[in-house]
Amino acid sequence: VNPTDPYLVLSLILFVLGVIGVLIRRNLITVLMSLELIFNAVNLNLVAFSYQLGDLSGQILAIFVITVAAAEAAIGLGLIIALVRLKNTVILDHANEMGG
Amino acid sequence: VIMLVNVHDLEPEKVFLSRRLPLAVIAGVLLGALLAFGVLAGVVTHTGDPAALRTVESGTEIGNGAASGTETGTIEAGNTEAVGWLLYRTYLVPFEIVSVLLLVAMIAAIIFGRREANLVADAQAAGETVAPAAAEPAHGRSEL
Repeated sequence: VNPTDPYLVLSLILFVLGVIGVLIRRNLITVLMSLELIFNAVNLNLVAFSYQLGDLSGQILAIFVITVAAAEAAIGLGLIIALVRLKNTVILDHANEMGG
Repeated sequence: VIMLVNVHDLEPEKVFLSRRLPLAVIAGVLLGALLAFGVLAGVVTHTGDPAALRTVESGTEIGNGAASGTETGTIEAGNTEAVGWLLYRTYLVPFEIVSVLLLVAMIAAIIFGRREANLVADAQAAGETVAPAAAEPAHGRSEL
């Protein structure tokens, strides 16, 4: 048994919870938080395999993933603010028409 | 943001478990089974040497001045220092590209936050009666 296996199991649990959250929750803020959960699962996998394989590139990629997740969170929250000002809702099913 | 959008005025999430629930459960179980198989298959994977994380190859990539004191061609450094060397030497160009990405994301977030307010201000400056579609943003902006 590798010493990184508990981290992989935790990453698996986080990823499945994130996917279920994205699929069944309709609140946009909750969906964004579930997306962050998926990002964190991927980061945990990257760092665990970087440690297991003795290669530092995985940790560099984890840093880049964190940066892109920050940009994605900024854009997503800006979109939520725009949606609330336009339609006064944060439910995904209420934003089902194109063209505003 | 949660304070910004004034959550109490919004209606709660009615469709907590929507009609997509069976699909979501099936997809989650399938993903979990697949990833569990991957983890279990990874038990027999070859384990590398974690001590390699603490050594940095001091070839032409890393400056000669930093490695001049060693004869074996490697310098002993902590994990954080090794990540720093790798980030600022090998991955310098992706690092700069990511900085540009962050700048673009910041500008886009500012534009998303300001555009509706400008539309309401223009409608009020024109002296017209505020349309019901524009009344909601005006109300939301006064809450800020």
